[in-house]
Amino acid sequence: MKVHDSIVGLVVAILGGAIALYSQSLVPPRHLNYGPGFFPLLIGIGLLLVGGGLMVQGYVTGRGQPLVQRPRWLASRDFTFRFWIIPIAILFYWLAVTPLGFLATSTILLAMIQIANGVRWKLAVTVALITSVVVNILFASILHVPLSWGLLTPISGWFIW
Amino acid sequence: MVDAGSILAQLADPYLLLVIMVSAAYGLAIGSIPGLTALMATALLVPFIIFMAPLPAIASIITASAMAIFAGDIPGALLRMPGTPASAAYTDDAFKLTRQGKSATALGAGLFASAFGGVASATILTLAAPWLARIALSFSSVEYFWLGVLGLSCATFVAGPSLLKGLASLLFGLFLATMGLDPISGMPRFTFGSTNLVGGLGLIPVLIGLFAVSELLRNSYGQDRQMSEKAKPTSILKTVVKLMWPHKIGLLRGSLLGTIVGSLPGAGSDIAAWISYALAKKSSKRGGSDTEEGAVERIMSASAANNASLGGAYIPATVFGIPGDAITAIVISVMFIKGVNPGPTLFLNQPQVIYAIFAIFFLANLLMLPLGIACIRAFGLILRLPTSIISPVILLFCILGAFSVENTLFAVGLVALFGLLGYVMEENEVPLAPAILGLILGPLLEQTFMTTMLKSQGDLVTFFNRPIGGTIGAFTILVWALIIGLKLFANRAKTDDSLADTAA
Amino acid sequence: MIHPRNTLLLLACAPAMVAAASAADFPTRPVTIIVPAAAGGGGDTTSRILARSIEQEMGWTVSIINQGQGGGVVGLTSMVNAAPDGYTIGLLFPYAGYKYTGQATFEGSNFSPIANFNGDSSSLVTSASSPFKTLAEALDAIKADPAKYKIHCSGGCGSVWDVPVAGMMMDYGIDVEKITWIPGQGAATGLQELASGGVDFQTVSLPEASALMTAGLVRALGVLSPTPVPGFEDVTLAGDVVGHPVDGGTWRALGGPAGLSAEIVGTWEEAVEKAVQSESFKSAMKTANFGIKWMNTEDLAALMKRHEEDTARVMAALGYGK
Repeated sequence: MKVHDSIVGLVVAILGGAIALYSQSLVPPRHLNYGPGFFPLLIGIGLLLVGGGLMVQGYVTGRGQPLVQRPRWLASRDFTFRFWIIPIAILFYWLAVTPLGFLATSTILLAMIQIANGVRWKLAVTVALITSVVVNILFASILHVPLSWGLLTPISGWFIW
Repeated sequence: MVDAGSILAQLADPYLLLVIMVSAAYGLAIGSIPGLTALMATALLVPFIIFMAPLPAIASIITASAMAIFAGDIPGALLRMPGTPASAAYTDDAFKLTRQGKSATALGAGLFASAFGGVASATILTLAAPWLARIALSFSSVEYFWLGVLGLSCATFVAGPSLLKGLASLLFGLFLATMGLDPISGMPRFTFGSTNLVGGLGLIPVLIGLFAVSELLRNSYGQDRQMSEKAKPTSILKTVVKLMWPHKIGLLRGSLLGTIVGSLPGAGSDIAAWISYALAKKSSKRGGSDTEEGAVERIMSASAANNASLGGAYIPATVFGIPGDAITAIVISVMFIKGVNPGPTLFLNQPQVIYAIFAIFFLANLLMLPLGIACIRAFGLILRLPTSIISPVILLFCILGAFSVENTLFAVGLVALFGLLGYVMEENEVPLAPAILGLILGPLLEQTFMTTMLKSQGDLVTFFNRPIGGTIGAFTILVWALIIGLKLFANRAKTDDSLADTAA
Repeated sequence: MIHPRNTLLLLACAPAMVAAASAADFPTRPVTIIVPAAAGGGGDTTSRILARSIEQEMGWTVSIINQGQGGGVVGLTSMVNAAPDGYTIGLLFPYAGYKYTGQATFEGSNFSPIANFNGDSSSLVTSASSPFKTLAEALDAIKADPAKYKIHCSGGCGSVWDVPVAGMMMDYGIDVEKITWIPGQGAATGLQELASGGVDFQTVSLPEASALMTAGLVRALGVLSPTPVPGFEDVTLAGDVVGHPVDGGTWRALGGPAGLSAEIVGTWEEAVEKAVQSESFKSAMKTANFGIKWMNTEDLAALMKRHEEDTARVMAALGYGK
């Protein structure tokens, strides 16, 4: 999603302003000359200046450029879907992994994205299942990464080696 | 010194060699998978080696971390997804070579430089560890502060075409670093009442989000092309031999710089690689050029520094028990558990142990050459699978990598957020690397500045009245003055040109 | 870690345990210990040694989760929020200081104490080039002009190492608020500052400073332990100088979320006790330079209460929470 440089500058400046404002609410405790708000204030002012600079630069050099260019993933429905499936898949993992467990969540996640990418569903599900089982064995059973067992929790003792 | 024979005899133990081989393969595998990092490889080893015999335990962790740090270059070069915060410095250079079908050059250069840097630092380690450690201990918060400011100047070398956008990215990274607990007063900042934010933003989830997930997003639409151009793996060894001599200066400089910066506790491999990259770009004619040769020079300097700093970090670690970074912190703790208590007495009472450890470091870096080539080839083969199948698996590893370093689901959420953010930043030509640099340097800068102010009761003169600190300070200010001066000059010239163009 | 015997046992009683799990046959599946510290380091190492001994003695499967973010706040919060079924417990250590710096509001009532297994005393160290050779000299000088001295806290100030030392100084009649206390990220940054001449003193545990002590760069002035510390027998006991026994430093215990049933706490307490008495635990702790300090549930609860009171007293004197 490409926007005009002036807008980039505006966003940067607003962020800087907000940081600088927030830093004022951080009062130095006890007898400190420089409190927790000092660095954020410097950073905020810096972003404000850089943002201002970008706005001016954008205004001077970027005349005639469109304010917002349509992102390429809007070109077709498939592209939009393939793009958004990635953050959605991560969110799905975040929400589902504790109740469902890693094995099920990972299988669904892998199959979902592959199907979105146009892989035949039988192949997608097979690849997803095999990958998930292998990853689960390597990382949870052998390397002891505390992946959630979800539905398998009551019998998880069998799988941690 | 102890006689070399007894050390070699210790190393000839087949069980030890087996542990080294397995750890090497493990380190390479974890390091080369996008999303999984060297830190993760080291941390996950702890439960296994904690109950092994001392020498194999330490050998395992040293070998695995050295291999994983090199292997982080592989996804960086082939997929533009750096495996360590340090390799973020030269990812763009390496990926550009891959795009031109020269991945063998990029990876061969990185591999050889890594092994060279490792061996060079092991040599320095063996010859001068106690002496260098004493120098490292003369650094107080003042010296670290100036080192951090010097590190910040590296951002301008990876800023891309627009200095302002590079600065915006750097400042944004510094801002991200302030989230969580203030290092001095312990007060929560920008946490908005969330316990997760009190923990701050981990470097690894942000790195994975900004680089790996944003790259997946960029590749998600468009034609179903291969993730990477086909490499010609047979040419790696030949390339390496060819590259060795012309780039000897860069290699030596990177190795030396890496060992020194690595030996400063708290500075670590990340900062070493960045400074070495900046030096290669600025101080040599070859490194400053946009050609293939220039890119190779920069990659080799930075990779050498990256692995050399790992050896450097063992200097204060073995002599004084002071860790240089998160990875050596784990190594030290393993040494303690095994009763190999780091300290000067280790050199006096158990020299055979300490020199065996150094010898293992040599061996690991030499092993890196053949195993590294095998690993690069295997990785190239996997990349021939269709993207539509590979990319979801990479995404899964991104999630897994963020989770297993932080052990919170919040880290998984961060990966999604920073993936989208990284995508938007790239689309708008805001470079990503300075943000990572800001996130690395932010805590160091703020903490050392505040500590110094606390110690001097607010007197700024203290930044200049220590001999080493004052010298580094003056040097840093000079570097910044030069950078700003050159940029202004270059901009003026450019504006004049463009005005002339418009007039014509 | 592979436990074939264990696995067989589990297989044998699998149907029963899926059906109904009461406290009597706890645990029927792997248990988790949350360690609010990063991999490597004291909290992680001691917990892993304990976990392995519990696995050996009890035949349980124990997994460790490291959550070191925010100086332990994140890990302790996960522990407090865990379901009180005994399957997720955690490492408990001095927690009262967080309240005064506004980081979190943990209180004794948020936890179910189980048992203490390790402790390290805090000590006051100085650089070898310092004019102070004894604890009494140093304390007298600080008493005369507290504003002149800088003391490194090792971790954040108002926590494990500096609070007991500040308490000891208060007993000696020193105005601790006037001293400049310098925070840092762990013992290493403090030792670095001490060696480079950035601070005058540091509060730290003796094992962490031992490498620099043997190198002749750092001198231990006194240790806050009622009895000599093994391996450091020649370090002055702070109690001998202030006139009454002084005991201060970190303690490491297992604890669960509030509301654990007495039966489950009892089972865990027994597990820790068996582990602490085992030879493997003793030798592993000795090799790694950690002291063993066993305390049952009751004593631990009393310790936590005392810890909160001490912290409140010292933090008020240091000027926090004003």
